Amino acid sequence: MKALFAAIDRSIELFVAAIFMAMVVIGSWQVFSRFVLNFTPSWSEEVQIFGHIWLVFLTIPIAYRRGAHITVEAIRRIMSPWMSKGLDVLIELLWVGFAIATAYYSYRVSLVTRNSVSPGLEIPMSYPYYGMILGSVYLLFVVIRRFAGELPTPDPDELPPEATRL
Amino acid sequence: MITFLLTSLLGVMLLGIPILISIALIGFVGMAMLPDVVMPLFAQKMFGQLDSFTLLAMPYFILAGSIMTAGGISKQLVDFARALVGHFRAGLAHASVVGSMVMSGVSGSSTADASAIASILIPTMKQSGYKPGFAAALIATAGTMGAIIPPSMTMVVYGAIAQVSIGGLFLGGIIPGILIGIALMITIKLYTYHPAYPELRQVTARFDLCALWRSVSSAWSGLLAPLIIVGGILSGVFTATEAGAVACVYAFLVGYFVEKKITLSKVPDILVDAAITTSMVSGIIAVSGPMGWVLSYLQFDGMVLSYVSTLSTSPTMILFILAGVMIVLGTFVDSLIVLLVFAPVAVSVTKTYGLDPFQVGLVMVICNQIGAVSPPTAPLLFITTSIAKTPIDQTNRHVWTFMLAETLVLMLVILIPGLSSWIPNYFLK
Repeated sequence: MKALFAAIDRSIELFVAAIFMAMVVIGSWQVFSRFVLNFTPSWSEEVQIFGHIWLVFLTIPIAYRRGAHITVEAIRRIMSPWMSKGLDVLIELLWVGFAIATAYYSYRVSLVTRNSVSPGLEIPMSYPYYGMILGSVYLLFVVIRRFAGELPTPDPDELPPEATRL
Repeated sequence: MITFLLTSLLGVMLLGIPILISIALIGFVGMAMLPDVVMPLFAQKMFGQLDSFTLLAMPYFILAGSIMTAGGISKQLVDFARALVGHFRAGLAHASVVGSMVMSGVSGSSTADASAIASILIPTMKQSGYKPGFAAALIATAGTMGAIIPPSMTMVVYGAIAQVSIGGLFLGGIIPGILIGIALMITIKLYTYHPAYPELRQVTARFDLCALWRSVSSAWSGLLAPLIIVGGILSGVFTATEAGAVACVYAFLVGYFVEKKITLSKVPDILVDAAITTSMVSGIIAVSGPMGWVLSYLQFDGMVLSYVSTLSTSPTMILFILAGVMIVLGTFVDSLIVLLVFAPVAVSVTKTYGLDPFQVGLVMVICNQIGAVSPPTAPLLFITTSIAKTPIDQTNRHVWTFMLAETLVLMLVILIPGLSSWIPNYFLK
């Protein structure tokens, strides 16, 4: 089971890397195409925007898994261990709530937007929302694994400092 | 209701709930409390917040910075800075400022700047007798140039929310960014006269033109990157977002073919690491969509503006008040949140008082960065202090002088609009 979970995690990471790579290639192609071929593709901006949305919602769970989300730790440091443990449970429950709310409401919006077509790519406007749904489902999957003790709670002090904020 | 939402936000964030979840929670609760709101708007507003081409500049510059850092550019840029100003009195301190300045042209992130420069220079500074708190405070403050000298993630966030040209903000940041560097170097110079800092009066190196040339030839790829980005935007060849994509390709080509420090097997992990940093910031921007919508529905910006108008009608005074409020809030709350909450207020101020949008944008970004080094909630100080392995009190004791220098530059930016608006208005019109 552990190997399967690890394979899923790695597949999602590679998928995110592929999206990011495609965004960069298309963004550079846009400049090259405009200046060298005198032609601006109508779809390139939209692909990058939708790619960014997929990338963000698929990577929120990866960042969660690695404990990279920005948190103010000042008060936690002076909490008693049981209060800190209670706060951890509350935080996990809020993540579950966020994942369910995002998945459910994105699905509701996608039902409405699937009939409208994006101007550049000419695809249903529900497609970017599918990234939000997929990302939220994966987030739920990861949070449940942490609840079940399959994933350790990361120590915020062990994070690389450059990976924490702007 | 606004007071309830904003105090709740402050409360849950200070409690230690991740900022992304805190903002999403307040946005969700706010929407649920409003009558006649259909809740799928929660997802739609998150989508709407990311449905922006200009915002794409952020992941691109994050990735370009990651690729260049993986190629070892930080060390080369610091060597260049040491060869350039290392022969001054307090040469290492001056080199940390110049190093941050040139690094700013590559990374676009104050955190990346501060951690890269601190991890290279603080051990050497400590060996040379520098007080660790002094070194940590100086490098943290110098790191703020990362968000002011182009490219800048903070400007991308502000520009995308406030609908201000990001290319223009980038160009507007050149003069204030350089002024901050000069102000910090003057502060170091003043420290050299202080009897308690004899280590700053030492001259540890001699100027060597050959060494400078060697460092330039080694760091050329990093030094050229900001010229390509700024030059491309100035000449209208590409937008800020496209500049980010081009910077990624440039960084990869240099790292792979010229420096040969990046292998294809490393690429997926570099992309994933950059995606994580992106999601942490873009995720917060996305969830600020519902909260921002609730605040705007409740006319938060109008309320702040009408209150501020009762204090003064002078545009300059209004900017001073806005800056003061942002800095004070930034000392207690994460400065990204302050920026997200106050960006719509800044837009209203700009329109109502006929201010230059680039000047207001720069004031917002500089305040945001001063907030990031003002204790007790000062992430940049935490990073450099942990690298310096010194008590945070020691860093806090020194940071005020450097913050004062940066605040003086902020006051100049408020009093002289041309410092931030001349370059963008001249080249982008």
